[in-house]
Amino acid sequence: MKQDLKLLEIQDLSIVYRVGNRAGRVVEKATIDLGPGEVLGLAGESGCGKSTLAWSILRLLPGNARIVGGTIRLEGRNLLELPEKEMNREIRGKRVTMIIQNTKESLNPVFTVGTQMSDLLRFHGKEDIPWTASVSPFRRARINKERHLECVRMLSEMEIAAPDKRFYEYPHQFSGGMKQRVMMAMNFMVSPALLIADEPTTGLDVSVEAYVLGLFKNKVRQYRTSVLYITHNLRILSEIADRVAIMYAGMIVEQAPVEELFRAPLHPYTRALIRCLPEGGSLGERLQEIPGQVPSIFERTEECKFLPRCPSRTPICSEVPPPDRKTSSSHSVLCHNPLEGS
Amino acid sequence: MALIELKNLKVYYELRQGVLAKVLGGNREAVKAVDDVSFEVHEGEIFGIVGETGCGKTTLCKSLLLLIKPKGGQILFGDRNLLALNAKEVREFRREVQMIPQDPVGSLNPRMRIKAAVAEPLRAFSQVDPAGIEGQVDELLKIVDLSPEFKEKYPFQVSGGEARRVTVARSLALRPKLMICDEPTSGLDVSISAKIINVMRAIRDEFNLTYIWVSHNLHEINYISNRVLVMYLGKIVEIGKTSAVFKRPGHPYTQGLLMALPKLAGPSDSAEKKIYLKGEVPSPMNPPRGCRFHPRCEQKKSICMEVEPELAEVEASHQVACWRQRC
Repeated sequence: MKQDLKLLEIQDLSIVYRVGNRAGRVVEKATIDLGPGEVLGLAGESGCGKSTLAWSILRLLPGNARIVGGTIRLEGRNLLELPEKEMNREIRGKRVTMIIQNTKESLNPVFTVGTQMSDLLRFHGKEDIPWTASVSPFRRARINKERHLECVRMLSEMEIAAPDKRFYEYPHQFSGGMKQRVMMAMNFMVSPALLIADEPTTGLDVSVEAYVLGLFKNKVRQYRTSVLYITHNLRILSEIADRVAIMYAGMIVEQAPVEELFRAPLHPYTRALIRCLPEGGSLGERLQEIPGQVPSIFERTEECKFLPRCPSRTPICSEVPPPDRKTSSSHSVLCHNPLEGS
Repeated sequence: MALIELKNLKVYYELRQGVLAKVLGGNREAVKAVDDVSFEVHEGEIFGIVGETGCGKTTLCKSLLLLIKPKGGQILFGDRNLLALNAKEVREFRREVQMIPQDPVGSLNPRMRIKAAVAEPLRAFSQVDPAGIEGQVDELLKIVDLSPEFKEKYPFQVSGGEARRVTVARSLALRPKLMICDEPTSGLDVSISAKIINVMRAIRDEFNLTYIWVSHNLHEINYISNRVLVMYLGKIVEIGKTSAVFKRPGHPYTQGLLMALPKLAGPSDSAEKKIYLKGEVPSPMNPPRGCRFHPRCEQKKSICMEVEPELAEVEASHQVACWRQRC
C-alpha cells in the first residue's frame, strides 16, 4: 500500500448547469485531494461553485446539473459510476456526511432531537434489526437503551448541558449554536470517513462561532475525520484548515498549506481577497477592493477567468489558458504570472 | 460637540397579559431590550456598536429614529429633546437622520424601479421640483458608484452589494447629518463589503456625516470606527476609543469577544488555550441580579452577583462597567 493514500481524489471535475437552453459552466476542471485526517478548506466568493462541488461528491446535485467530465474517487472507488442504490447504502450519510449551511432546516421540527439522533443509529448502526424480525422484546429494549445511551453520550461530548433532558426536547428549544452542535454530534456519531461542512457557522455570533469551531476542531482530531470545510470566511480557515483551496469562477486557482497561503499567496486573486479584509486601526488607508465582477456562468471562456480583474495581467493571459504550476510539492497555482512571495 | 446624546434611555417591550393578571394588577412583564443606556455621539465621528444577537443593538437604533417609543430617558439631538417633539417636528427631524437597514433587498419595494426608490425621499419632502428629481437621482447614484443604467432596474435585477448601495444613495438623498448603519455589510462577500466600506467612507468625508455603525463583525468595527460601544443584554458594558478598547479591553465580555476572533495569521497563538465565552445569553425578561454578565464571567467576585456595576473610567475616555476595575 502506498504511504500517502488519498481518501478523496477529485480530478478534472466539470459540472454544467442547464438553464433554459443555455449551458452554464459552474465547476471547471477542479482537482483536489484529501488525505485521511486532513482538513481542507475550500474558499471563494458566493457563486464560485464551492457548494456545487461539495454536493457533487454526494451526487445530490439539482436536476439541471450535469457532471460532464472528471472523476471523484473515495477510497479508490469512483463515486460517479456507483449505482444509486449503493450510494444510498454505503456512501451518503455513512462514509460521507454533510453539515449544511442552514441548521434550522436540517433538523426536523416535529421530532425530538433524541428521536432524530437514534433514528440515525437505527439506519446506520451495526445492530440493525428490521422491525418485522421476530426478536425478543427484551433484546429490542436493550438495543433501544443502548442507542439512547449512545446519543446522550454524544450530546454530552458536544458539551450540551443536561443531555438526558435535552434528548427529549425539540429543535426549537435549542439555540442556533446548540443546533449546530447537535448536527455535529449526528455527523460524528456515524464516524464518517469524510465530513463535508458547508459554512456551518454562518449566522452565528462571533463568540458562539469561535466556541463551535473550537469544539469541531477537537472532535475532528479525536475521530481523525477528513473534512472538506467550505466557507467564504478566510479567517476561519486560518484557524481550522491544514490546507486551503481557493476557488474562483468554477476553477481552483490556488492550493497550498494554510500558513503558506496567507503568508505568501501566489495567485493575484488570493492576494486580492486577503487584502479586502479590514484589519484594525488602519482607517487611513482605503480597503483594496477587487474591481469588476465575477464573470457570469454563461460567459466563461477558456482563458483565465480572473483576467479582466487582474492587476498583473500580461498579453499571454488572453491567449493561452493558465497553466497549473506547482511551485512546491504542496503549493500549486493556476496562473501565468504568479506573484513572487509578497 | 455632541450631535446626539442619550440619557438613561430605556426601551422595554411589554408582553401580552392575560385577563386575570390584569385584574390582579402588578407589574407587566417586559423584555428590557435597552436598559438605562447613556452615551453621546460626537459630530463627524464613526461610532461603532457591537454585541451579540439580542443585546439590543437594533432596538437602540430604531429608538434613535423614534420608530420605537422609549419607556424612559431622554434623547437630545442638538438642542432638541426628541421625545418631546410633536408630529410635525418629528417629520422635520427624520430628514436629518437616516437609517441604512439590515436587509437591503427587503427594504426596497419590489415594484418600484431603482430611480423611484431613490427619488422617494425627495418627493416626500418635496426638496426639488419634479423636473429636477431625475438629475438628483443620477447624481446620487454616481456618488455610490452605480452607473445611470441602474435607474431603470427593479430590485430583483440587482445584486446584494448593489442593492446595498442603492439604499445608501436613498438615505443620502435628503443630506442627513446622522446615518445609522445597521450591519451594512452583513451577508456580503469580502470583496463587496470592501467596496461598501470604501463608498461609505468616501461619502462621509464628502458630506461631513456622522455614522452610528452597528455590526457584529469586530474586524470591521476596529477598522472603521473612532469610538465603540459594547452592549450586553441591553446594557453598556464598555465604551471608549476603538484603539483603546481593542488593545486594552477592560470588561471580561469584551475580552471574550476579542479572544473569539479568528485571526488571519493562523492559529499560532495557542488556539487550545483560548478562553471561550461559555453558555448562552440569559433571557432579557429577567436578567440576572447584579452584573448581567456574571453567570458567564470567569473572574466574578461575590459583589458581582449582588450589585450592578456602573460605568467607570479606566483611562481617559474609556469606561468599563465591571467591579474588577474598581477595587
